[in-house]
Amino acid sequence: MVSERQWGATGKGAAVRFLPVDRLDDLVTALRGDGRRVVGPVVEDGALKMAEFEHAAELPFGWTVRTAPGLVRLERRPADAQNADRVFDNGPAWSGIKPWTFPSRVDALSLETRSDGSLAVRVEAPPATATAVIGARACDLAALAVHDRVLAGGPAIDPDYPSRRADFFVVAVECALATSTCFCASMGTGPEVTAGADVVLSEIDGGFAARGDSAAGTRLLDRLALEPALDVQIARATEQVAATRASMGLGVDADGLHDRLLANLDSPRWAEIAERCLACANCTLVCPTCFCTGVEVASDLDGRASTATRAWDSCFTAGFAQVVGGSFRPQHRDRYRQWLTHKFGTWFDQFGTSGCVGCGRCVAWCPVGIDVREELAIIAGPAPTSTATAPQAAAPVLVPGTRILAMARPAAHPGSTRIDYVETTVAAVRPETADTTTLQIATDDPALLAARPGQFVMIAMPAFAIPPISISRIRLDGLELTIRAAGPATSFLARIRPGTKLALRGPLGRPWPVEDAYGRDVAIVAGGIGLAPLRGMLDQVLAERERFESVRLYIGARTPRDRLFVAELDALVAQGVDIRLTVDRAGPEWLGRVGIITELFRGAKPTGANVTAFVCGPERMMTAVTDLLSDLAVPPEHTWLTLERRMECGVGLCGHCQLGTRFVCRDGPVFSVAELGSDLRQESL
Amino acid sequence: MTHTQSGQSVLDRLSPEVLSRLNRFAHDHDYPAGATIIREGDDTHFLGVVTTGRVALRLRVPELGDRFTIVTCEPGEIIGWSAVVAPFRATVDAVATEPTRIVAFDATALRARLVDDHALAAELLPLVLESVSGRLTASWQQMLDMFGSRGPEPW
Amino acid sequence: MAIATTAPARAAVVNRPRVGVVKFASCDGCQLTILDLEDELLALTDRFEFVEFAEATSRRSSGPFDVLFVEGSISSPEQAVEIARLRAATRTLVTIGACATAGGIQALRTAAEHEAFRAAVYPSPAFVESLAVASPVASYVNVDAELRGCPIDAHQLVELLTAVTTGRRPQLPDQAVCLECKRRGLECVVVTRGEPCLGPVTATGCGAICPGMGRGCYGCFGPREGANVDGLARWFIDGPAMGELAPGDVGRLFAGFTGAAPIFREVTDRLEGRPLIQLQPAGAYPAELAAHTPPRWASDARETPDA
Repeated sequence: MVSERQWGATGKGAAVRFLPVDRLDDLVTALRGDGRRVVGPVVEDGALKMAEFEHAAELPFGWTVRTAPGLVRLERRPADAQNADRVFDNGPAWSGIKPWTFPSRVDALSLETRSDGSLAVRVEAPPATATAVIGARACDLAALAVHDRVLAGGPAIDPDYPSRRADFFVVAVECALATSTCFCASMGTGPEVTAGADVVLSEIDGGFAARGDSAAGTRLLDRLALEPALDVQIARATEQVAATRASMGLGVDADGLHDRLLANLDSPRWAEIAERCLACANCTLVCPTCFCTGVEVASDLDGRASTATRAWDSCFTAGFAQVVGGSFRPQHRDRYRQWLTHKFGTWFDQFGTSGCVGCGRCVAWCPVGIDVREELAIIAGPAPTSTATAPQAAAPVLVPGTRILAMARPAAHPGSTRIDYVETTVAAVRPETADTTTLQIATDDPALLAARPGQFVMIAMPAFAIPPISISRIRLDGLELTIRAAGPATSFLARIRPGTKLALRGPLGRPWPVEDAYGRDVAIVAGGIGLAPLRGMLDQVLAERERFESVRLYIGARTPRDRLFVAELDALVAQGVDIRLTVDRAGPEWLGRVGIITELFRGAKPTGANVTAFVCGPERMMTAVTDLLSDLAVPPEHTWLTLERRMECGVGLCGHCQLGTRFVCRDGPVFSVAELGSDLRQESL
Repeated sequence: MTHTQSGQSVLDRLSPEVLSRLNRFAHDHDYPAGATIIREGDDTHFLGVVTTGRVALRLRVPELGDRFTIVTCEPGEIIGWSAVVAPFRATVDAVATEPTRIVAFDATALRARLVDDHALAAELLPLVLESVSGRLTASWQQMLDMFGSRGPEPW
Repeated sequence: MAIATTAPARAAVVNRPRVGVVKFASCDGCQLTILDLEDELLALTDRFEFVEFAEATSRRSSGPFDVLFVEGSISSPEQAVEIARLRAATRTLVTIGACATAGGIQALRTAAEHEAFRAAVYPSPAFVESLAVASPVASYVNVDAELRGCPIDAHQLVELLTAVTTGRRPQLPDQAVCLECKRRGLECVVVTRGEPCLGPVTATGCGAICPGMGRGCYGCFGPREGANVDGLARWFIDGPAMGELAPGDVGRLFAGFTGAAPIFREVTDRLEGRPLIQLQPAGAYPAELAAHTPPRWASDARETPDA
């Protein structure tokens, strides 16, 4: 007889059946019969790993697990122990589901120069194999829901993930054992399986209480022709998961954690952790929600053909936040802070959910046993009115992904989430200075031609890394890109010959909000190569000159020889455009101004309330200019900057360019000073 | 923001009383383009304010072939702060890059006056200090060579 | 100096670059690793002229070399002279393997009484000319790039040669071995068995061979960027999840093939993994070689002369 009481929190009214343990293999066989590979926890090198298997007998019958910070020991349960032969009483498998939905290395792009000089460009998105996973835990499913949101929730969609996710069947297990490193109850993600599964199992005497949580799951159970579960079996399943919740130890005080954590960016504890932290990246790689990737380019010996591979990366590596000249997060302290504050804090701002699902893998698999629960308690302190550390206090059970805060995402701009490449031709090359060149790119691609000033493109060419390059002019027949040769890829671009084919992706990012300056005075402030992304804006301002009040351009260059667009700007001066220029140093033949860019404003009166300023240059210069503009009463919401960060994808999927709550590539690179707030000056953020 | 080409002159920030006392030993000097106003190492003969034109402050670096302009003095700015700061010796060459007029206050007279006239000192010296500190912080920025090559990029 | 960005990227290979492979005090294992590149060897010899490669050809050359791969540490006075000569004959000098980049296993002798060693090993030590220390090549001459490991990963060598011909930066990762370990889906031996592993402080490039065979990394690629060796050593000694390891044993973990790398050497000495003996200061190469610029992959990141 089917119980009136329903086991499980979903209340979907699905009947609960009983799957005898000796029929578990029938479940596996049925899934395989549907053409799926079947993945589940198997014992490998002293731990449980989610791996492909053929028969239920390969699952970890009789194994249990003991964990502690930096320690995982898989052990045989004594034959006379209670539940000695159980298969799933051994915690979440260390590798989780992530390698099956988001593999550690995938082909991303292939490029080849054909014999006629044209380019063959292919964004790789291999068809996925239908997969079923058995033994996923509540934390695994919560993590999957996070990945769905991060990788496929937009605005940009990962080219690989959705197909792997499309035909992915989940047989989940409700945990009857909480390891010492488990803390899902405190994160509100488990141990009850409430969403994301097709079939849910609870291991009880002699087999499993089983319910279908999706139409496909229910159909599968129907096919197995199982007996209904007895009331006592359903009650057992219900009690068991409640006992797991009750037995869960140290947790995370998640109440208000976002604010408490971000209020402590300067805690001395970060430096103390850094003495222990190896920055080895294990925590990020075993974390089921970490999604950062980097691009590796391999080419043939001639450099005519290359493939770009996308591989798991980590915010703990030196190269992660590397740009010309150095890393934005040089010390381990900075990198640990980035990881923890993103995972438990700014993840909410970006994705409306916590980045942590409480699986405890980062605790158990840290080779030096750093425990995030402990560190969070010390850094963030207790919640003001907290009652929540004990799991018995019954944190509300939430369906994964329901903790959604308002997401402050700027509207996506046309083309700004583009993941495909367009072949373009270098129409002309114009040297600007000894190390800077302007490429005129011919294209008839409508999206590229609709680019707006301040946006950028990614440039792919066989054999080289794929750099982000800002657009310096938008033409009727293409784009201009002004490039400083500072590395192999940009040096190659600077030497390129007209007629060469380049693959462009874009336009990407948020443009300069020119309309913010309508009816106002315009101040354009450019330092060094920072003039390039402002040139298109000046074009637009001059084209619509009558919509603005005064227009002034302030330019800083290193030396007279390093000035960009000299003839063009001289012509504008001759037409009466107010352009002021200073150089950092000069020889005696230079009769113009020498001094820093802020000196150009000397004597200006603090009456800038009607000014909209657009600023681009080295960050140190921009903060100095920002201070000055603030003194001159230019409102912070009308002061716009463009930031430089490491970018590998340009659409907010690779994680490299994160700054606090933002991805600079997707949410910027243009920001107002008001939007950036204190993050503009926060050290090593 | 109101922004005149000449900016606000240091002279405009002095009270009429102090200005009139300073005027007793003030002289206008005119220099053609290219004229050397003072040489590095010489005694500084005056503290001045540029009224029109432009003055390049240059350092000699013989082995690099020539002189480098470190900073330019624009109209309204102080030139010759070393007239009131020991050892009263010019720290740079000052060269007019275009026809330039400077209001100059005789160094000896000014120094004597500063000892006795505390009201004048209290108004004038903070402006001198402001000018020196502006040059100092500008030098820090220039020392960073922010617009220069920062080294190889990761691409 | 540079290989890279000065050469036109797509030039047809008319004059093949002259490549040499030479050795000093070493086991030849790195050279053999190159010969193991069965799939790539023909393509390599198509594009490069191997003018000196003792394990592969009887051709000999005294230079000049466009690219010279140097295996082995500098262990005798004549080697010190020879490496200076080779440097002068070479555009791009690449050291290969733990011996050439970090002194190798023979650098362990810097911890012992050199004379006593010689007397113990050789019946007539007077005939054996050797230096008191075995040093990385970079202690004598400037090195443009290094390929680490014992032995090297031959695919890194192909990557470097490809970078030379195409004018790009070779991708030689400086991340921890752990990244490659987890990408391969390998369990951590420190966590599952309490077995010491130098992976967290060692540069990857090997593909996590040792953890893949269920044992700890012994650091043959040498220290990675930002290696927190103290943090790791402290955990090995005191970590509640680790077994009983005496400080001296932990110190000796770092005294392997790249034990002469300063950051490893320092922890070995501090934990009294071996007697304290002063190392010769590194970088004391002859002044006449100072004209060679240090490794720089982006030669175009040039200084613009002031006006």
